[in-house]
Amino acid sequence: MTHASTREQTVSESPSWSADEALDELYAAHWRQLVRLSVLLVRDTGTAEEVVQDAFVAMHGRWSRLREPDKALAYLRQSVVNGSRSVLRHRGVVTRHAASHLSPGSRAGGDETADAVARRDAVLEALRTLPERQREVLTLRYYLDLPEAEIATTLGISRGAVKSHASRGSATLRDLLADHLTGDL
Amino acid sequence: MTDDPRDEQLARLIADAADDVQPTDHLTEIRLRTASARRRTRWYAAGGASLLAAAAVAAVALLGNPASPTADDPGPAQDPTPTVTDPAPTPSGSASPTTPPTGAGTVTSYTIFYAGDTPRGPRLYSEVRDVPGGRDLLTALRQLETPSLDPDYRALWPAGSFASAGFDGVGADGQLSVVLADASLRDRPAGMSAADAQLAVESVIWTLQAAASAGEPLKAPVQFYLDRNPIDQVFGVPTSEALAAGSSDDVQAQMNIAFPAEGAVVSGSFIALGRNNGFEATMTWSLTDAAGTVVLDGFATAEGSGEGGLFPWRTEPIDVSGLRPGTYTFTAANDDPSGGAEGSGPDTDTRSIIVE
Repeated sequence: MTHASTREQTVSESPSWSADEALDELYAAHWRQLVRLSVLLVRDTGTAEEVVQDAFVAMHGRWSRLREPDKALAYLRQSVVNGSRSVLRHRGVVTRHAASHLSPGSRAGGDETADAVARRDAVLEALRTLPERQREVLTLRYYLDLPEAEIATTLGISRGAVKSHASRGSATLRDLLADHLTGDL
Repeated sequence: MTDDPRDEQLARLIADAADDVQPTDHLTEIRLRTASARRRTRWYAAGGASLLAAAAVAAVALLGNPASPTADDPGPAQDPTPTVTDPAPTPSGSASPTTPPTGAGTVTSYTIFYAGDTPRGPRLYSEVRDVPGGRDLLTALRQLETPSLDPDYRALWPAGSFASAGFDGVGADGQLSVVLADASLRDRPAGMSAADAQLAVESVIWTLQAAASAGEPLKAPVQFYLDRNPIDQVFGVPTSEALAAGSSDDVQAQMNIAFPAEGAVVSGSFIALGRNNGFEATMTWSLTDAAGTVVLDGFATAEGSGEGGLFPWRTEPIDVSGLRPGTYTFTAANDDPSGGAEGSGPDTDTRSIIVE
C-alpha cells in the first residue's frame, strides 16, 4: 500500500469523474426525478423529457467547471426549471391547444382506480393554473423538498419571495384541490 | 430566517401525481448528443428524424420499447425486442399492436414527411405532429393525408389512402407494411408530377420508419399492399419489392426547421433548432418583418456535415424582446460558399412566427 496517501487524497476529493462518467452517474441517480419535476412544471411527459435531456447535455458540456456532483445536480435542477419555463412560454399556444384535445377516456386506468387518475390529473391541472413562480416554488418545495434558501438560489429570487410565493401558491392549491385533500392517498 | 413548514397533505398529493409519471429512458440519445463526432455520424447516418422526435414529444415508445435497436451504446436495461405483430397485413384497422399506455395525457409525436420545393427540385421536409394517444403506425400515416402546418409544404396523399400498417419483425429485422385503401392509388393522378409521385412513396417509407421507434428510425424496408397482396406500383412508382428509404441527399431537403413550428408565438427570446447538411456544417438564419426587412440574423453550427443524412443544429437564444409585436418570417439556410455564383443555391426552410 505504498500509494495509500495518493489514494486517500483522491478519495477525499470529489470523485474525479470524466464528463461522460458524470453524465452516466447523474443520469442513473436523477433522470426520473428530474423528468417528474419538469412534468409538474410543463404537464407533458414528452416535453419534460426533452427539457431534461437538454439539461443533461448542457451539464455534460459544463462538467469541467462544475466538477462536483452536488454542483452538477444544482445546475441540472436550475436548467430543468429554466428549460421548462422557456418551453412553456414558447410553446404556450401549442400546449394549451394539445391539452384541450386530451380526452380523459384515452387515459387507460390499468390497475389504478379512476379516483387516483382523476386526482393526479387534478393536481397537475391545478399546478398549471398557478402563476409561474408559485408553481416553481411549490414544486421545488413540495416535490424535491428543497430548503427555501436553495429554492431562492435555484430561481434567483430572495428567500422572502420564496416564502410569499409558497404561501400564496399553497393557499390557491388547497382551494383548487379541496376535494382531494380529505381522502387517503 | 427559518423555513416555513411544508403543507404535508399538499406535498403528498404532488408527489403522488409526479411519481405516477414513468419517464422513458433517453440516456442513449443524451450520450449521442454529447459524444464524439464519429459516433454521432453513425447515429445520424440513419438520415431520419430521431432528434426531431426526441426534441418534440416522444412520450411513448413504439410497441412499449424505448430502445433503439441498432445503437452501439447499451443503455440501462432495455429490451431491444419489439412485440411481434401479425405478419399478414389486414385490410382494415391497424395492425399495430399498441394499446394506449397508461398515464395522464399521453401524447405521441410523429415526424411526418411532406413535399416542398428546394432549388434542386421537390424534396421531403418533416414536421413534428403531436397526437393524443400511444404510438401507432396507422395514426402516423394518416397525418400524411392532412395538410402540413407549414403552407410551404404539400401533402401528397388524399384522405382515406391508408387502411392499415404494421411491422412483422423483431428489432430491425423485419418488414414494415402499409395497406392501401384504394386501388386507384396504383396510378399517378393527373396533376401529380413524377417527382412528387416518387416523393409520395418515399414519404410513406420515411414516416413509417420514423414512427416505428421513439428513437432512431427503424430501418426496415416497407412493402406496399392492396388488400392482402403486394401492389406492383403506387402512383406509377414500382413497389413490387419492399423498399428501403432513398438517400437523404436525393430525398430530403438539406435544411429543415424543427422549432419554431409554423405560427408559433414567441416572446423574450427563443431557440431555433432543426437539422441540415450544409457546407462546413454551417447554417445561417434571419428574421424578417412583414415588409421583408431583415431585423435579426445569425448563424449556428450543426453537429456534422457530409455523408449520412441530416445533422442537428440549434441557435443561441434569439432575443426578440426589442421587436415590435407582429408576424415575422424565420428563415434557415445552408451556407453557400460560392455566394450564389455556383449551382442552384442552398436549401432553405422558413417558418412564420408571431412575436408578442
